[in-house]
Amino acid sequence: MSALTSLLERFHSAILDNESAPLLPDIRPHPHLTPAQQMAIYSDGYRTRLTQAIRSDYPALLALIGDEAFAALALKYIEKNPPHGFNLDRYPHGFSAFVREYSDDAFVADLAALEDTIAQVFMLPDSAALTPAALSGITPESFGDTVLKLRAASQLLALDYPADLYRENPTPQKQPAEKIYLFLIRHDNEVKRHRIAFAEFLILSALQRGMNVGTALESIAEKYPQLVPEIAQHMQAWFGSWTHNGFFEELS
Amino acid sequence: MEARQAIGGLFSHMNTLGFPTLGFGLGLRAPHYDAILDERPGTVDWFEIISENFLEAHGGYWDFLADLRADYPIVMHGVSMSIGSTDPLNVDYLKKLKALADFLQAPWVSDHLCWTGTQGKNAHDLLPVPYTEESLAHIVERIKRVQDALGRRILLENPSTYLEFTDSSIPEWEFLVRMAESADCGLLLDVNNVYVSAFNHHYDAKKYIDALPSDRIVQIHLAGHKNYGTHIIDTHDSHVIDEVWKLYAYTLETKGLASTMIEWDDHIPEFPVLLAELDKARDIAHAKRDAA
Repeated sequence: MSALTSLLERFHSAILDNESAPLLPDIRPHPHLTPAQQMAIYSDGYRTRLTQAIRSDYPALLALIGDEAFAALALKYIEKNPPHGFNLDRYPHGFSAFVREYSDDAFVADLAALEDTIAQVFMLPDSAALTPAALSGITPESFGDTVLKLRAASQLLALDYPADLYRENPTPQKQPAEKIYLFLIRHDNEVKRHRIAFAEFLILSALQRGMNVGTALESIAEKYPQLVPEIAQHMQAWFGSWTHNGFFEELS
Repeated sequence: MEARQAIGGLFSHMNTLGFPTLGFGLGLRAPHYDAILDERPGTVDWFEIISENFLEAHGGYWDFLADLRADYPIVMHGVSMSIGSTDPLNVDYLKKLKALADFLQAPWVSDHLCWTGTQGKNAHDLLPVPYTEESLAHIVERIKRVQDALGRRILLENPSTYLEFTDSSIPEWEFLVRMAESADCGLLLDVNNVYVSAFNHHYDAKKYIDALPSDRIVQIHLAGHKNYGTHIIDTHDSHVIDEVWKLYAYTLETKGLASTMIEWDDHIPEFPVLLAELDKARDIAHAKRDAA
């Protein structure tokens, strides 16, 4: 290993481990700051920068648990997950899974999952929504064989708590447990959240896996026969709502 | 665009390295996107983007840049090239950088004389390079490879640093000069960084400026910082201080004019505040021209 490689690796380790002692002999004396104080400028800056990146993606979580608890969680996450990629915007993605693992509050974990999903959908690639005209060729006979592809910038999410209400509320309060299903989709620069029924969630999930409409409905009817009447009653309206809200980008 | 370049008024069309001289620009930051698109300010000659904010952004952001590009040159300034690291160059990053530079027809692409990580990890900071013969040779070779990959000459910016290595044997200004000439790259002279590092390491900022070759200085950065008494941190969160304006004036006097821009990245003010800050730079340049 070259002297340069060795020095850079020791420097980086000193930042990651927040332990500057092994590097101190490499730092030139300063009249006003000790080598440890100089090194702390970099170590502290690293943690501050990453914490700030996480805070920007989880504003509601921050508001819910407060600065101190958020900072403690973020620092633990940073310690266990040093960033690898060049894109700092992607670093906070893993934080929600970390919160679910380390927090004993399921509402907190759901809120983190929702905010993470919003951030992810915001970064997904663009695609144009199918127009109603493009869908007008679907006949009752061909409907079952139709494959509908969900928009690239969209994601389905199931939560045990209505965390979306918390995020909407100007004076937020924790909500009691209630299963909710969401379809998140970006239009231009805005991520919109649509509350959907469990049956809708199942159908859209099946479509996301590439099933055609007929196969999706059959598989759901087989596994959840109690949903068949609801699907029969609402399918046409759901389909109208999905197309109106631009859920699809391609059909075949 | 010609009209906007004429507003600069003080600049020849090309410098000796073949880079266009653009006038007075601003860093493009999200809180100002709407104001810029709505107003298309005539006193801003060009914009600088942080490359990483757009490399993997969705198409709407590229549409926004294309819209802006119709009226302004857009130069690219990066923070992730990690030119000083001993990790392999990130080929994926360079491909994305080139794609964006081609898309924008960017007049130039810049980054920093620094490194950002080792062993595949990224500190997301501009970490200090030891100024040794070994690191100089290493960095020169990497700049050449980057320039080949991007198909263009790059600029590297002098950093703000908060410590010096005992191994360093070359003054920073000498390192920059030898690096730029050996690798045949340009320099982005951050006058505030010169002030910050000169304060932190107790050297003469003017001596630093004096050492730099005029023909390598393609762009100048100006920014605010935070002074803690014992040391200064480059924070980009406030006005340029008087001492840095004076150092900017000295730079223009001794090195001539270069495309100049204001960086303001934290506690970002209303857009008119930035325009006023840019006017100060323009006024200093006019005064230097009139005095000459």
